[in-house]
Amino acid sequence: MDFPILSYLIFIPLIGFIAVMFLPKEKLGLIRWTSAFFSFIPMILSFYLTYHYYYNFSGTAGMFYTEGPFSWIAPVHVNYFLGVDGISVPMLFLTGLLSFLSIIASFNIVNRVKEYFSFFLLLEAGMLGVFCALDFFLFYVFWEVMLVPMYFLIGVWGGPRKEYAAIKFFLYTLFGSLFMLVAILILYFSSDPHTLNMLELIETVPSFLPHSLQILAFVFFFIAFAIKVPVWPFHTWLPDAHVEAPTAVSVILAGVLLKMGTYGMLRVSWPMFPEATRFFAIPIALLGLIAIIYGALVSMAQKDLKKLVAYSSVSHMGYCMLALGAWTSVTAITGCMFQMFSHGLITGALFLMVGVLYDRAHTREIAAFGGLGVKIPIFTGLMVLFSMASLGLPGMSGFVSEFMVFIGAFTASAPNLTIITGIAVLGVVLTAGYMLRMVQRIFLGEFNREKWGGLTEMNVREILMVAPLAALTVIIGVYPAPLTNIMKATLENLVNLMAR
Amino acid sequence: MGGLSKKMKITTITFFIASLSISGIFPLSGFWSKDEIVAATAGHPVFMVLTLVIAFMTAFYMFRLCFMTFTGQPRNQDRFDHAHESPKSMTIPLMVLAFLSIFAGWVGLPWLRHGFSTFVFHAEAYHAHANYLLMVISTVVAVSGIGLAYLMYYKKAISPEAVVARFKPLHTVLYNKYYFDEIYDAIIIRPVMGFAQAMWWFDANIIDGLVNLTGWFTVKWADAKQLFDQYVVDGAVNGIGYTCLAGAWLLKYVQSGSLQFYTLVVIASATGLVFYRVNPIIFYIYLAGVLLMALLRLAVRMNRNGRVKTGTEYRSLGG
Repeated sequence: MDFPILSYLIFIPLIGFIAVMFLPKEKLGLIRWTSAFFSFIPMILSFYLTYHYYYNFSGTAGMFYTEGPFSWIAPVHVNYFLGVDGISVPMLFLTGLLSFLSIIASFNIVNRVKEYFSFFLLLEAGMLGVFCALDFFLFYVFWEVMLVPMYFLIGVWGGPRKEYAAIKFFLYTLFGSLFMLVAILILYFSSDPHTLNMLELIETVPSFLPHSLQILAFVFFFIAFAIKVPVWPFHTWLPDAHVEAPTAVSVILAGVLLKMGTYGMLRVSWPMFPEATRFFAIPIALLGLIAIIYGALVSMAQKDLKKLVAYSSVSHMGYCMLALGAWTSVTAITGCMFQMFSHGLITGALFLMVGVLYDRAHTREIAAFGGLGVKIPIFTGLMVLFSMASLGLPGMSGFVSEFMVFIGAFTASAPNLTIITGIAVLGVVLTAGYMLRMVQRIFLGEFNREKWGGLTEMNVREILMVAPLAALTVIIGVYPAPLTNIMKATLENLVNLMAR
Repeated sequence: MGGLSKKMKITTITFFIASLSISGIFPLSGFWSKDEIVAATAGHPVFMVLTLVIAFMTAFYMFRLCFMTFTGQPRNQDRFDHAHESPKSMTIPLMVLAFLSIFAGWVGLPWLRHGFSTFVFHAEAYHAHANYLLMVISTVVAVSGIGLAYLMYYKKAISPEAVVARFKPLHTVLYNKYYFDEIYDAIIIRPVMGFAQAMWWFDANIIDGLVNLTGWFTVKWADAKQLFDQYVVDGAVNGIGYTCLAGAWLLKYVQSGSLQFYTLVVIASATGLVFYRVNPIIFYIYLAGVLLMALLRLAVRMNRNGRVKTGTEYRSLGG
């Protein structure tokens, strides 16, 4: 690649953020299309990056397209250092795609349009930055940069309890980030010479850091990442934030922000602290198990459609945690990455669909609907498709990831893990239970013509924004090889690093 | 329904062919597939009897369905008036399937060498020997099933209501599908849903409650700190200021310029020194007295200067 594609990826939305702020606030069309443009370019770049990586580097593990390290704040050894491998590339693809789709989905925002779109572009820059950064300081900066626009996006454009949800999200995540900051400082001051370079630290931390400090730093990083995932019992910010946030922001929250937690574990915690990972593997798998079953049960009890989807995220991210507990198995870790990608597509799409319905019906109460299938067949078809994908129907991406997680965790040669995995399979049944019940109660049964006779079918814009997600869900569900090939070498190398 | 044969010719014919086939009437395909199973049970009387009973029941219920649907008088005239033959897209598949339900079983003919197993197994397979007696028995069973249905539902020679009345409890259990739905509902669906509600309550009240409690506690703690800050920390800062002010107010009398006052101080001090030489204890008593008088005097002065506004307080000080 003869141009610094990663910097372009991060800085184009950032330029967009500034550009949108300079536009006159009453020119709504101009603001919308400028934002769409500034998120379209990174999307194309992320596609090109994925394509280029797939054809040139997917066979070997390692950081390609590194940019830097360039000295940034020399006295404290902070560098500007970017790079991507098989873990980051799928995440950048997902971020690029979902950001653009979310901006398209936000075209119906009418309140303070200019601020909304500029915050959105800043958010996108932060997310892309997190997935590229290889310097801890830079990583931390991007991690925090994301919080601020997210706070406003929930707090200003959200639902009835937006202030509560926004402050809860912000404080909870910040609470976690501070643990991460302390852990980063532990690494910085323990290393000699002092460094914040993640790649160097992955190489050297197991040899220079005392055992107790490794455990401590691991726990601190884990708290930060676990809040983001969110791992049970740190999950209660999620239903509030997801439900109160506007549609497009829910998509980003579920599709990208949750993945930062698991991404952080795969990028930082697991390879850097193999000893601590081994020590905590079974408790982590147990947390995953609890999240799977508990999340599914709580979903089942929900009356609000959006809250149901939100709790299903808790359940689905549990599969990732279970897989991360089975760190010896490349299959499980691949399943984890696959689940991150697939959950991003499916849950992103589900939130978009919930938004489409809410825009028309002005309610999300499941019991208020019934028999909508006769009135809005395209919406019904797509919603059923995504529900099936979410419950893991074979032929959809959700099945591939869950299957890989189960196979990997079951064969990971740890007897406790076998039992945990065996119980976790129950989660699939519960997921099918609440998803099918939801489909039944909303789309089947008696149609209330008096109440819902005026519902209109999805328009072209709405169909176009979920169509790519539907296509990808089916494509990688039927033929997962392209995605697994991208990650394969990197994840094998990761498992070797953890076996040190 | 009832009497539909007048309106749906093709459906009726194909349905009867399929019913004959599934009842196991020679030489339709159902006969051959059933025959393989009946032949295989030849050595086990229990299984054989069960198989034959089921064959009888199949023939009976299929023809009950046939007679009630397609023959006799319509039970609902309005429905009957709206009934019509299906379009070609339905009737052509029906005809193909009816054709196959006649002939498809012929691959199992006993005088073909390997019969149907040629298509299933690649090597030599177990194959029941043709048992012509059993074939006759099963045909008789099937025909009698059809015959009973004919008597009850076509000729109406035997009243179904009378049979129901005779076996009331059995009929109730069967009518409710052995209560399987109710059993599932009671032992799986209700407990799971109840558990889900309990988990939701736990999540919203306990886990989220802890989060909110942490928030509440932090806010209250901040309030307490605010009070501490306002009264203790800032109180100390202001206290220093007030102390200075009060000190200045007291000390200003030292420099009042009044000669009498200075003289008073000199004499009082000299007296004090004398007392101290005699006995320190007398000196301390004297000193206390002087200070008390000085304070009283100051208080009176203060009131004269109008610092205290109320008259009662002024009078109580004797000013």
